[in-house]
Amino acid sequence: MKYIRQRYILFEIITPKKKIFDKELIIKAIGKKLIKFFGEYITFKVGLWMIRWDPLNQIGIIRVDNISKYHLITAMMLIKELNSTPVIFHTRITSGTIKKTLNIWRQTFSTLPPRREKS
Amino acid sequence: MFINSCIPWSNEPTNFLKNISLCHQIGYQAAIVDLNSKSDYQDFIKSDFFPKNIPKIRFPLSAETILNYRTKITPISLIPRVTLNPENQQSLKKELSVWKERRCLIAVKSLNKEILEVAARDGRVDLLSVATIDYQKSLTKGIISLARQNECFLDISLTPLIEYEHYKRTKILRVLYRLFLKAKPSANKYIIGSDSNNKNPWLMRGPKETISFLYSVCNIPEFQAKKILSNNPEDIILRFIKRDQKLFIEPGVEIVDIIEERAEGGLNK
Repeated sequence: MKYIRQRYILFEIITPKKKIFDKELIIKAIGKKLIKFFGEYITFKVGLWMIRWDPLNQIGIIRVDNISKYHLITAMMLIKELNSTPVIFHTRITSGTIKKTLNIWRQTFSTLPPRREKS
Repeated sequence: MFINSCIPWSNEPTNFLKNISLCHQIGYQAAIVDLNSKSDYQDFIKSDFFPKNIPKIRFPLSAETILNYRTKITPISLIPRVTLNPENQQSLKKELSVWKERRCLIAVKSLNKEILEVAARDGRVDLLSVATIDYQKSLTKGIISLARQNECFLDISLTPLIEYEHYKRTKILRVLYRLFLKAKPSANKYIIGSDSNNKNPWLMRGPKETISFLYSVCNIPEFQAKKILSNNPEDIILRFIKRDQKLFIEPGVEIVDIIEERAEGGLNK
């Protein structure tokens, strides 16, 4: 059995016009696509968690495990619309640590990532 | 370097520029533009998207050479490709003799197996376009074998897969799965691009997403998936560049390097 580690995926949503999407809407859309395309068996392994989300710039970081990383990116690829607006999920980078992912966020987008919400 | 092997040409420059910048935004550094007719080809060649004079290149040829074909207004390099859809074998040969002299890659698409067989055997054809399931179904083992021997690339598209859902998507996946079993990506040369018939740019997807799709759904190893999106299109564009720069003389004979000083000295003598 493979040793499970965490992976952080930095992604952005590209839309024709600037729109603000809710964090829950994106998680729901990805989860729905995962269940629909890969089924419950793969979805329960993914462990989907949105670590950071910047609604103004439409950039976010999602945490998954290393095995089902490709399944998640495929599910994101298959999403065509959010709130009847055409979207493209563009994964920028996958990293093993949140520190490196946040560094890349600062470098590529030249914006500060939002602080983590208290649960 | 990731290359989109097929983006549709649009006569409106602003629309086309938008599509190209979207292509650049999602991670491609070059793209092959699909042209369906002579007028499209003329429009593209005369436009500012393609260098009018043959650009200067550095030897040895590498992926960076492709970037020389970028113009001032485009963020990525664009290479023209003409897709022929002949009615019979004679018309295919006629069209090939015309298009051979032009500055473009030549692709053939047809539902007729005999035409595909002739195209796969012909050295002038660079690509066999099998973007949709109807075209993929018409590929036989013989055609695939001929294409492999003549280094003819197979052009597929994932756009219909994103566009349709439910039963239609499963059908597309089934045909794609059978194609990959018939023509294995380890032995055959595939390239992936957006479907030229579909003019919706918002169905275009980035290289990383495509690689993860091929890995997780089609069970293609990651290094082979990367090859489909990077090395194979690079090969075909370098083939175009060799033809465009007149470096290709005959199969097995081509100019590898030009040393200018010695060449000048040789001319003076």
